[in-house]
Amino acid sequence: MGKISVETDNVFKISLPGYDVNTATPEQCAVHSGFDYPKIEESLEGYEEITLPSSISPGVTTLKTITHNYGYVPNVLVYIDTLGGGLYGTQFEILPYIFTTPVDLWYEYDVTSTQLKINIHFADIFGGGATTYPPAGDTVGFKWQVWVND
Amino acid sequence: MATGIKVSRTGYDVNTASDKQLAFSSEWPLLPIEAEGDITINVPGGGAGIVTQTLYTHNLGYEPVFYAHRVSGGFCSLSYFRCDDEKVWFSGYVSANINIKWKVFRRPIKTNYEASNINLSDATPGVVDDDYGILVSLPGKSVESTDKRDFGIRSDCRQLMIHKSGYTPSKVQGVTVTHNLGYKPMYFIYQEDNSNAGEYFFVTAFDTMNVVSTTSQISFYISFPIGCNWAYILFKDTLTTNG
Repeated sequence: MGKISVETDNVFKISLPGYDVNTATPEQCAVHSGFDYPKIEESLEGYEEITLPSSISPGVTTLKTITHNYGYVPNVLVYIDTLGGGLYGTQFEILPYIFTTPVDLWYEYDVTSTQLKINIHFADIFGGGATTYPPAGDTVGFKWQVWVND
Repeated sequence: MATGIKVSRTGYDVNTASDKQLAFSSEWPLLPIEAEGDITINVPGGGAGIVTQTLYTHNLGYEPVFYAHRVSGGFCSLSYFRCDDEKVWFSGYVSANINIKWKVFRRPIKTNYEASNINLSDATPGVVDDDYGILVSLPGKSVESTDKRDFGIRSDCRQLMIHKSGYTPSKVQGVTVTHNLGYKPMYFIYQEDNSNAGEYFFVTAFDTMNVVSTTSQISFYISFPIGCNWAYILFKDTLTTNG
């Protein structure tokens, strides 16, 4: 895929305040029928607070699964709310969110044609096995949007 | 008399709906998608290492807002994605193949904008009347289509509405943006590469950078390097509830 916009399409245009719709560029339009826009169905947007396991095993641990059943891999947007205070005071961040240095523990997600899975990934680069150090046992919030757009 | 159009989301009276209860309004910009795609970034032939690969040559003549992200495969930081005034590309360490989605939007990263006519008072959902709404199909697609991807705009969906955007004209260590939305908004943040002027990359909290948000302000701060240029977009979408 590549360019999907059709700038010359003139079926439906609404310019932003202060711009003449007859001469407005796509950047100056509120809506232009030659362009697609990110769209989110209300049922596929949400927020949930989740308590992590008290012991996090090496590999991938799924914290939340959202089923969309679109039949294609959609775009998603996921934020983490660290609630009690995260890395260097960060309160919320777009995923993937890296928790430690060197990089051995991070929040990320996987998207398939049916589901969005929000995970924590522990690489165990020191070979110590499951970790009970933070964020193990912490409660975090996740905000997700599954877009209609693929 | 002001002219324009606003459409509430399903179940809300358009006359009383708050900003975030609207599907869209001609008062505020959305993010028009210029180009999009999927790509797999493969591990280099000699094994794990740095890969630099163009995702799209846009030639817009400005640095565009973009969003690219990993959907499966190996580790991938958002800061691996970059843009300048010609193209958007990937540059990062690849230890396992990474499946990526990317979108380039028709909006300069460096845009100072703030929405007016703010209505923060949420209305109570009312009777759902599916007889009213608006559908704008994409060129070559039927408005009768049952595939929601065939529409640019649908009033039964939320569109990402921009509340505020801006950029720093000179390098600073941190930025505090006042939004007064009454909720923590979703956002995109970009940083300009201090070594390569005109190159912006997507920012994610890591090591030296953090984001702190309240219901009236959002702050982002970097401890190293000492100062950089920033660009940001705040959306009329809440972080902590469904909105």
